[in-house]
Amino acid sequence: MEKRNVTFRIKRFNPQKDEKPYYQEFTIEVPKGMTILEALQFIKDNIDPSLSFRAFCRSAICGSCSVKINGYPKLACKTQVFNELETYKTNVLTIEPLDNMPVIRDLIVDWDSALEKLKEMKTYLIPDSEIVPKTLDEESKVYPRELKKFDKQTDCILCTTCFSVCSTAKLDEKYGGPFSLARVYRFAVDPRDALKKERAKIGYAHNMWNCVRCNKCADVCPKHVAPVDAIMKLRGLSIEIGLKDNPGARHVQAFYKSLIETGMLNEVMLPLRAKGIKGILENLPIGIQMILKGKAHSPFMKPIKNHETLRKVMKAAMEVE
Amino acid sequence: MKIGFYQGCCFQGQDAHMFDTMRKVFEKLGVELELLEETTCCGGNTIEEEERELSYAINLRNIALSEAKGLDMLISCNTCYMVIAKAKLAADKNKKLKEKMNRLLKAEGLEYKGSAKIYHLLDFLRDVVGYEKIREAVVNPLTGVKVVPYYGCHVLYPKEIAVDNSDNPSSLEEILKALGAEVVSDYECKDVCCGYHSFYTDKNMTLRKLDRILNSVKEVSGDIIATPCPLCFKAFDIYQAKMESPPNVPSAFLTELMAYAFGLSREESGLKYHLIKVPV
Repeated sequence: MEKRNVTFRIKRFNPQKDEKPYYQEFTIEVPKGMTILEALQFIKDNIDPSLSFRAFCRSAICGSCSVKINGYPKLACKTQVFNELETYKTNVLTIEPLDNMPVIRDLIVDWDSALEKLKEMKTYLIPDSEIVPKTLDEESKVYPRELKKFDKQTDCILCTTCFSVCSTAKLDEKYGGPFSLARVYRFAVDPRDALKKERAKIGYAHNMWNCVRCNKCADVCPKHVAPVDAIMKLRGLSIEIGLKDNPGARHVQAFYKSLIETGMLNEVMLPLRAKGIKGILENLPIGIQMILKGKAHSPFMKPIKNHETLRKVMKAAMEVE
Repeated sequence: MKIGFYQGCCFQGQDAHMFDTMRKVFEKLGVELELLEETTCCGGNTIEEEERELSYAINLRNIALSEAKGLDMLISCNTCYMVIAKAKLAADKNKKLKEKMNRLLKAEGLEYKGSAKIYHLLDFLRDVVGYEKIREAVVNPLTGVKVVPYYGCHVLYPKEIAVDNSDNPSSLEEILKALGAEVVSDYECKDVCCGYHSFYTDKNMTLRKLDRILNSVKEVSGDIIATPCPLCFKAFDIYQAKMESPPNVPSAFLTELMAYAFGLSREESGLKYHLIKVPV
């Protein structure tokens, strides 16, 4: 079997002993097929028993072993060493703890802050007494077409990988975080739930409009949950139940209006439509700077060619939705 | 060769000159850009929040317009690329959706076939033009300029539509190297989102995100941050100018730097119009 000598450059930190984190290198012989988790376990068993990391199921189900491998977070048990060597064209892999959470020791992070939000955001089924039977004698059926709406979100294993890459979670303590908001959506469309669409208000209270839709959570998720898709749908639900008087919802409307009016986004009108007069005042100084640089354009835009037929297509698309 | 050019909203209005620059850059590479005039705004990943199928309809229509001319399509904005690529992926995977959308497009006499390839600037330059051709077109190499590459999110995430390896991309570095620049790609915030899309929902959040990225460019002594996304570029140039104490890191849209390296003037390349002065 093919074997390669691989150096693991592991970020170490023991707050009881170390002033600051440092990197330690371990070079071991890796056979083809060995996972990052098996390599870490090999180092712990044979070289340094103090190396600390979380792991449990080894089958990408428990969500405890996510670490950064050359800067990109992955489940250690689901990732083979050879694949990483191929991706990075190297024999040295840097293993670090996830970002956005405090380090307890070495590769173990304290994910309490991320998980506590789940409780706050009521991400559990609150049974609708009209639908869920009171005794266990009857079933509470969910049909396939209903399950389809939230099936993907039920795959979340709470590994916090998405939370660790979220640039909004890093800066906004109030922000619910990708996986928690995806769970809010999951229950908002569950036919057995008592709150249903009203759950969008929970998302709203946890700054769901601060999601910038970078799609990084969708990229790193080992279970392909794509939290960003659920967050966007939850924001749609919030508009549906009438939470329209806020910059997020107005921003959506501004795009829609521009498209219907001219087919193109009117960048000059966007601040006014999203934030009202405040938007104009906020942007006035920079607008003047841009005019001086020869960059600004008129707020009146010509519609695109054949705009009338586009409107027909748009209207028809909204009717079928 | 000829390719259908999707201008999106970025290359009209405020940044109309960017299209002229791009056309000149591609001329030098032997590529003719045919402007797809009837295409619309992609919806900015924003109308999808409310109306996903509307987003599919307008973007399949955008592709259909390129197909009607028998051309592949070049999209040079990250977000437009992601939104259009997602619509294409959805329709190519789901026959029912495709049929439904085509029933709508019939009103304009259009049909989405799925025959046109869609490219972002990065994969088009890498796969169709080639790094060698870019190298050959350089007359004014960016020697000694420390350029920090910034991909932006929507060309790399999610994987299904990514034009490069999201965990270890290289195309932008290679293009910048072909221009003769000294590329500094190891910096802390290289994959932190610029925050452009949250500017109207939470301005301070955007400015704080920008501050982190631009300061990490400063930490590695970068002279300029270069991006293949016009939205990230707007954030770096225009929104940076809105900060109370801007880190003063110059930025450039990729084709502007290409234009400059290909011998175009500061004005023709667009570098002259930046709010944060570019020191070349």
